[in-house]
Amino acid sequence: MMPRALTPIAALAVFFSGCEEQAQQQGQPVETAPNEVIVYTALDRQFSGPILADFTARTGIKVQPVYDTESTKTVGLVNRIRAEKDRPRCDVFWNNEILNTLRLKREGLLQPCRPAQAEDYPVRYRDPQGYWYGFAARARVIIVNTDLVKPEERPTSINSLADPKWKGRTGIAKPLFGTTASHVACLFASLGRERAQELLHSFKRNDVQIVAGNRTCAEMVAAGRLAFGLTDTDDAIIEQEAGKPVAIIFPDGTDDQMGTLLLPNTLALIKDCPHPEAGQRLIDYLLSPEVEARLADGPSAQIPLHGKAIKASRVCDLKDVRQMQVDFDQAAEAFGDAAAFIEREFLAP
Amino acid sequence: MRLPRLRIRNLSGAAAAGLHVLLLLAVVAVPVCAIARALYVLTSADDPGQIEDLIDVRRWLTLLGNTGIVCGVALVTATVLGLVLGFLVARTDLPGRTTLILAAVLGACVPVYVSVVFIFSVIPVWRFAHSAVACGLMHGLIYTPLAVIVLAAVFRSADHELEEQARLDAGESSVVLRITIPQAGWGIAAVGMIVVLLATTDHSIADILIVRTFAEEVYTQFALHGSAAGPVVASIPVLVLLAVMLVAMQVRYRLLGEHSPWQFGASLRTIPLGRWRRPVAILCFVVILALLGPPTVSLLRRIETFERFITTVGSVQPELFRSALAAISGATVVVLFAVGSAWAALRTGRLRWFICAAVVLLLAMPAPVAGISLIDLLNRPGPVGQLYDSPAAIIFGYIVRFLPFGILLLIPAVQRVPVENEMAARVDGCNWLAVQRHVYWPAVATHAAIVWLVILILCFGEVGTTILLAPPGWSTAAVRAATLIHFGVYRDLAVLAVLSVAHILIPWLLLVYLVRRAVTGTRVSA
Repeated sequence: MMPRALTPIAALAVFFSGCEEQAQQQGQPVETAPNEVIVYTALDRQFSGPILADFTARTGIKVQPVYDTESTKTVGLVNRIRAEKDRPRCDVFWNNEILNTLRLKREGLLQPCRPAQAEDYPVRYRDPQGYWYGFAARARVIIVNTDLVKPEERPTSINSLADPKWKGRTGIAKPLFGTTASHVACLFASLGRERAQELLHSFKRNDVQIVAGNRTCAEMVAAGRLAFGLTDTDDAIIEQEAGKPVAIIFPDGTDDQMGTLLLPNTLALIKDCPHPEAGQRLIDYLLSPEVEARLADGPSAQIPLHGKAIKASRVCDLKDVRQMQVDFDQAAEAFGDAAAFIEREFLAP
Repeated sequence: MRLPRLRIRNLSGAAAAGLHVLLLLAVVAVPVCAIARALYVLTSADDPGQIEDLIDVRRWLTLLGNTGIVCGVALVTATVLGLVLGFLVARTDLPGRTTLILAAVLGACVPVYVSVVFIFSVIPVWRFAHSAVACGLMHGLIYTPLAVIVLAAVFRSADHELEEQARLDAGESSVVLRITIPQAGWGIAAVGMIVVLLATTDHSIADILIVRTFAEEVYTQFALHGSAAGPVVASIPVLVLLAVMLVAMQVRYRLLGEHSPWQFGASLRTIPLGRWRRPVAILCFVVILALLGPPTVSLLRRIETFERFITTVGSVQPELFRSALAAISGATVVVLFAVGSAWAALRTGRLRWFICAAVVLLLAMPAPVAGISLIDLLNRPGPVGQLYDSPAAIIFGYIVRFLPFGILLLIPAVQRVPVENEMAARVDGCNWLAVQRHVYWPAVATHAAIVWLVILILCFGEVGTTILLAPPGWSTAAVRAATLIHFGVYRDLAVLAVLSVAHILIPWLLLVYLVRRAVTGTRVSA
């Protein structure tokens, strides 16, 4: 019986065995097929998938993606990259925000690269040492229900979430993950710890509704459950283009205000990755104006940052948006502090 | 009854026993590795505040309260509905009993992520935000079909002689209340334990409704700190609760005893409902229609046109195929090893407590902790690394997650095999492998097939570990659904949900056939 019982198991093991041809030494990358690149991407599959497929069609390099989600409850590609650090499998990390990429850099899990397209991006959206590159941004905006909020009452700053007039009728996504967590960390870096904590305390006192995610926040505003809320441009524009009674406001746009936070997608090459050359080619391709144009054209309406962008954003003209000046490295450093504060203040009873 | 030691007489017996031990050790290594890492992180923490953050009393009291509410409401919902419906289908002349049990089996076969999609296709995500009661109610409704099946089977195994004797002195309702239902106590306790276990370890609904429970806390801690310390600490209450429940059940009902409480085959008296027959039947079907109708219609509407359905099928079908393949492989390995492990838990001395402890540890281990520990253990040079780089890693994840379920589900079946049969086989010179082959496997074959199907369904819906282990380019349907559900229920997700149900129709039909065969074809053991 045992040989018979083992046969299907052995057959399955052979069937499922990887393509590796030789054992690896500790700390060395996984050897896989040479004409291949492995990308861990946090950008939604429906947006990133076709772009990666196009890269394969153009270059013949097969892309093996691992997708993440904006769900607050995946343990995340970041943790997977950390767990695999002794034997990296990922070549390129395509993050849909910036701070976790910077955290990986601080942990020594990235390696520098020099894609040709990088020079056409603003300096503030690329690492001076070449560890990461930002492109195709989203803005942190206020989505307003135009039926509930008169034009003259519309919020112009994120401080409006603390306006007693809107007590209990404003919302933000759970500020522990994703772009909302990044926004909080940027506030800590930009305003300083005390002012940022006071701002967040004021949100709490004003009964700001904590919702499951940016998309949920946008949907609740569109449905009239909330008067306005903080979300990303890609979630807001979906509601606007669906004909819902909403308006998108880029907050803090005057000279005496801090500006609107833009969070780029970021690309990074993993240290000791198995296909560094293919990875660099992929990064170069993703930084091209054509890819930004596709992301701008798509449902997520990402904002091109390339100096020679061939497509303008549907959401805004960057020239008209006062961008928040934030040191992303400082924000990455403040991330832990900000998360601990949020955990104590917003998740405690 | 403790059996004399088996002698391993030949290589095949040694290999079989050795394989079992090896697999158990490999599987137990996963939580042990996680605990070791957590202890290392905690003891080497530079910042004492980190430990205080992990075990914040105020936060834990909130988690305890919310988890208690969610589990309590889920328990009451599933148990009450399971009791009523289980009794109706098992012991009354309710018309349409077969249809009801078919629907219950189908409901139990549906993966949790599909049930979640069904729920949120009609209820906006924000409608019951922050409501632990709503979270518990949803859990309770999702697990009700399982409760119905288990309790129906338990009611079918009542002691008919005792009931007949009681009927000589008391009315039907008294017999039901004083004999039938108390006899089913162990089954009610088992359902309660299953519901509590599933509700405390599933984070999907708590996450969407933003209800802070221990299951949700596990993921929060992991995402915040990136180490296993937080999740391991956050899973301690579940571990304690499970251990207490299992010990209590063992003390009260002796479920690990020599004789199984699970008996079938005696013809039981069917209780006539009289004039309530038709109204009760109509009520049952109206309720089922009300629960299933709107979500089904809502999902089908989201699919839009048939052409778009076909296009979307093309994009999700690969995941469904891979899910089926991995689930079949995982379920097969689990069942192959669960029979021998169940035997060891029942019929050996020293191994019994090791296996029981392993079961509790594995059941309480959160899915992301299992995933990260497996990466630690498998992502190494050589053949082990090749295992990690292949879809076999997902299968190993399934084994780690669901072997304890397989063992627990097969214990009653193994219990029903008379010890005397094994003794006789040993007297004839059979070694361990021959005893398993000639005594146990033939006796538990039907139940093993049922357990295989149950594990298959569980594997199909697994997300927490798979999302960490799936090799590049290899995603499962459950992971795909998890990546979609936070954007609301739209076309792709609706198609995925509908296709997932279609994929489990065959296991469902097989399960119905096998359960029917097990219930009606088995005679009460002497």
